Amino acid sequence: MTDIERVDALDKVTGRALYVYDLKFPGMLYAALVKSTVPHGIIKKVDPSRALAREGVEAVITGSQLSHVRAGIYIQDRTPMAAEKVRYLGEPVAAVLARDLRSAREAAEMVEVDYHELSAVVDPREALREGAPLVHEKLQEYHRYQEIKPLPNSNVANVFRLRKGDAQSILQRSDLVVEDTYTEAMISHAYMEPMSVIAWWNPDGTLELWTSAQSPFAVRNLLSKALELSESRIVVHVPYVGGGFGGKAGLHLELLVALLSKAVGGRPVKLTLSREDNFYVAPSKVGVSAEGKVGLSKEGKILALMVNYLVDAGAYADYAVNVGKTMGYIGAGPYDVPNVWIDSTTVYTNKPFATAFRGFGILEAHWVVERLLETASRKLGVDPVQFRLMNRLRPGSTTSTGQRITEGSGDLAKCLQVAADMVGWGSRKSSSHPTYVGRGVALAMKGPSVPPYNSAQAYLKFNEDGTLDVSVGTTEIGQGTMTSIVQLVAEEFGIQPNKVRVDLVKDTSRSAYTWQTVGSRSLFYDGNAVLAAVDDAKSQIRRIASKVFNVEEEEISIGGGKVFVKGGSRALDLKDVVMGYVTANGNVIGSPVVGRGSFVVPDLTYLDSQGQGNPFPVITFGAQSVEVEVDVLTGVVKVNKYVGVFDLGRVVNRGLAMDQLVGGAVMAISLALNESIKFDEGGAILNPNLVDYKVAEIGDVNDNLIGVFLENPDPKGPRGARGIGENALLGIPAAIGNAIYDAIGVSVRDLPITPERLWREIRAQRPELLEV
Amino acid sequence: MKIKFRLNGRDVEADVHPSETLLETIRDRFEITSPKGACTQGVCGLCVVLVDGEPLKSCLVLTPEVQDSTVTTLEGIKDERIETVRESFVEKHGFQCGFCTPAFILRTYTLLGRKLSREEIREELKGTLCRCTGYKAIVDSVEEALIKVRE
Amino acid sequence: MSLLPNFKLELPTDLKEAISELAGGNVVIAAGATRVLLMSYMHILRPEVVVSIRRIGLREIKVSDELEVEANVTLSAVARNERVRKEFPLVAASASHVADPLVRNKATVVGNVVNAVPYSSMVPAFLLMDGKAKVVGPSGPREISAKDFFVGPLETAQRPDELVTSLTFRRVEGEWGFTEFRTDSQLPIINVGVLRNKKGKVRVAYTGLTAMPNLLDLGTMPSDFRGGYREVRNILQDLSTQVLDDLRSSAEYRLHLASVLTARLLEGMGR
Repeated sequence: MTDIERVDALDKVTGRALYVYDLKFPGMLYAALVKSTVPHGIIKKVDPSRALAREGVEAVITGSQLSHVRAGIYIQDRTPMAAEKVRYLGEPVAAVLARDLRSAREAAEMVEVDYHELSAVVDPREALREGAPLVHEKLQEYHRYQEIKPLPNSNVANVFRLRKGDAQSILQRSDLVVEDTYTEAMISHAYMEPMSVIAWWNPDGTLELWTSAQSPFAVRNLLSKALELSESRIVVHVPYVGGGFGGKAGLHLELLVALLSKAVGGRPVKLTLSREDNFYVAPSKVGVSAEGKVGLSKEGKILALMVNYLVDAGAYADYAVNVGKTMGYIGAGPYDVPNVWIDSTTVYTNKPFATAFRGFGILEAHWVVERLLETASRKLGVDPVQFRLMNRLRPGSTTSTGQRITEGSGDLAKCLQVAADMVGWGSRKSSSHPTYVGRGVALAMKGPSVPPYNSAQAYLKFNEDGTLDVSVGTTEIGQGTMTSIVQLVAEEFGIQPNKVRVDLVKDTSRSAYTWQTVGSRSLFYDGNAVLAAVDDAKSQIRRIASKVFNVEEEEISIGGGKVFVKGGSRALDLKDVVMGYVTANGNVIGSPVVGRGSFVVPDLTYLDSQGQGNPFPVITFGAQSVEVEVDVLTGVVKVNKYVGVFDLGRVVNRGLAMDQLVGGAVMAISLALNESIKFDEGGAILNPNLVDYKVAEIGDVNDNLIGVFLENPDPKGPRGARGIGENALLGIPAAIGNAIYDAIGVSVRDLPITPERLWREIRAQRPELLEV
Repeated sequence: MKIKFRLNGRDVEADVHPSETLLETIRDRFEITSPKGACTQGVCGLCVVLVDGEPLKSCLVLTPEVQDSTVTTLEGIKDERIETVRESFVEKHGFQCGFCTPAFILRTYTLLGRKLSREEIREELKGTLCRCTGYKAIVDSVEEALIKVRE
Repeated sequence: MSLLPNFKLELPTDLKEAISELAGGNVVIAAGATRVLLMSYMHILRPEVVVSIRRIGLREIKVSDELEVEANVTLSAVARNERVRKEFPLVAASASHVADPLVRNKATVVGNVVNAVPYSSMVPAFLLMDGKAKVVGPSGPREISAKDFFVGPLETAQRPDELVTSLTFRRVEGEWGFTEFRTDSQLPIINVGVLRNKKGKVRVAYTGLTAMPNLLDLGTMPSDFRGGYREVRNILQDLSTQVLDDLRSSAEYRLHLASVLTARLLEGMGR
């Protein structure tokens, strides 16, 4: 297919694109949050009197006033603000509403809160200890998704177990057993548009919201449950979204702002987080530590894998429980391992909480599995590329959950060969002290982590001039799916893309439904739904045209903006058919065409008690390789070259796919080398700002970021295609870690690999490299 | 504090707080939305505006400091070369979510007429963050715009 | 967005007025104002009164046998100035390392020095080039030499009622080097400047190593000098108990980095 121009281009390059951050309404009040100053404590008293006396302040609403409402996507462990007790430092306990932001912010500082401080648990390992302070005392009472099972009287939100074969006994009989422990820091999504919500109640009781969210329909659904308000009484608007990366999936501040608006008689209320508040109040990526163990035969076949994940959710595990679960069920990832044992335990701590992040647990698991297997292959003396080729999943083999791999998932071996060749695997490296060059590879495998029933709708309606309006439920968060949707539709009718308009901004009362804009599912789900709508419209068109031409419907073709009889010379313009064909005497054949479509994958399953089942609607394979340069004296790692090879089934818009590949690569390099939210012992964030939370800058990366796409069509994908947004990151941290080992023989286990951290590892593992 | 300055080609007046930043003033009082405060901590560089032609982070400018100055945002650029910059960003995919895009386009505008290597472009554009693109496509766009305008 | 806390802002229009604004004490002087604003955003500073000196002139760069940079000269202006680049390259290079072009268009050279922050890029050059701060207070002007200027962490010999109107940098014939090191922060952990005069005498200056800037004599080194890590490390050993240990770097790593970076600058100069 030929790329088309992005459909959101002009709005964005003129600066006219509006985000919730930019919106305001007449009479709107601005909210500011009063945040907890202790990590764990009973709220004894909230005194708003000084704040209320301040000019401009209209109301102060406390958490306890809203404590009757709970929400959450996988476990309803949150109230809109802290009510009886605070569970992390920085948790909102009250909100000030004022006529302008400055008054609201200043008044928020005047609200006095007394706490009875409780002992806090900040370290997830400590949280597991007997007698550790409990973050949630009534865990078992929370409403939850059926697969999530919190342990009463503990800090355990969920334990996911996967058992395939008998890993424990096979490990004892393996020729080589390698074990290691890995950690990954909590990370901020650092999307550029901070979280922002406006809520406004209509006189008829309808709640209207404008939110910087990935998933308007999930917001609506979860609000509906929390507020006991029907979904048709909630209208969620999502204009342009300034980045999400998983951090704006599910429900976040919408419930709070809706209740704030209600508390002031339905006036519009806006809450935009400052960057600092965004670090505390908006959730981040989970922290992980993992103990891995792998058993191999002397020929290099992986016999068994055990991984024990400990997932730090922070104070609320609403979404993190599912991240922890997914980390578990990806199991051995792209490897064919007959015996797999995984425990993934998601725990509460007294820290700001975590949510989905681009890669959703699978990113985290790749760091563990790919580093562990690399270490194993090196110990065994098998070339890491050959080792991966030997042990990879292939058509006919099953994943760790027992899901069967088909040809449709593409050619993993080819991905790896191309990635290895293009990074110069096996060729000479020019190292000279103190700079050492190394290369690393990692495989990548991912499917969307979604409930089996997740689905999408689409519809399209023709206009009188033959142009058409298309609606899908997915949001434009920068990934460009809307453009791919337009391209698919335009191609189907053979018309210019500018004749197809898609609903770039969402309104849940009008837009077609989709579950969420997450997990690289949009092109697959919404793309399939829109093609179903196209097919529906086409059959209506054929029905009309067959009557006009007096031929069978099967003889009608549609293309090039025309409707014609196959092999014949008779043709009509689409516009003369799509509103009904008007005959010479004024009669009408047919009626206006509205195409409707929807999509679901019918044969997905919940996972059973052994973690077995079919969770993935679709699986995408890839391989990623890097060349790094390590300065051993400073510990600085530079990525000289990155190659990402993915079998996407089919590429709809090459430019957009490449944008995801490159943008994802830089995000992954940035988080692998630099990014971590740093906490002190009391759970306070030490770097709640973009000064000391370092996001890759323009000068930090180079141009040597190469993407290659293989196209073995996936029969399930829309015209064979699958998405790439999340896949772009998966193996990169591990490939960097593997390349560092290749360069200097130092094993890194902890992310991020900051210069000081690597310098310490070098000093511990290869002190001779530091001799000067 | 009462202050006067020129904003996007017209003389404006405002009565501002002493600690009000130019970012607040132009967004909240004049409803100009292209400069964004993604951090308002002096880092992200999405709030860039031109003050007497120099690109500055408007969250690091106190509004009273711009008394009698000329302030220009992307909305106020009437020079037709800005179209070339826009076209280059569209053609080379120099944006994704679009939140940082006005800042990068305005900064590119200040570089027009210069001949810069890709490395120099990266050096010149330091101080504005993008979380989506990985910057490569932005550098492509800027490079393209500089070449087209020189031609 | 974050908002700045309320403060009073004074914008005097001449030097005399500015000095009189300082009389009450408890005011923060701002030229580019970037530090005041950044520190306020980060809750490190909560000024009551800010005296902006932007309207009092002092915008000149004067080149003679020394370089004089007045208080309102931005880092960009110095970094771009052809004569400074040619005749005082260490000053130009140091200025071009601060933050990013947008910040440099507003922040000043003088501010970068007189704020005495541990991540200052300009202070090493100020120390190495026998700088002087020209200061004006209620009792008239005086000069403070660079070596006497820094008296404590974030503390200088400038009195609260005084204003630094310009800094001077002595012209030094010889070779120079400057580098900074940043890891997972926007702010450098350490800045290193070195100068070797024509007689081969080498001096090194740091910011970020200890709470106060450091100026050290490394003795005489030939121009084909190689190595140096050990020598520098030995000299720095005396400071080891004072080395900063913070969010951005441990003391141990800082000390190591200072030695590595200095040795590299020394080697680089000879090539």
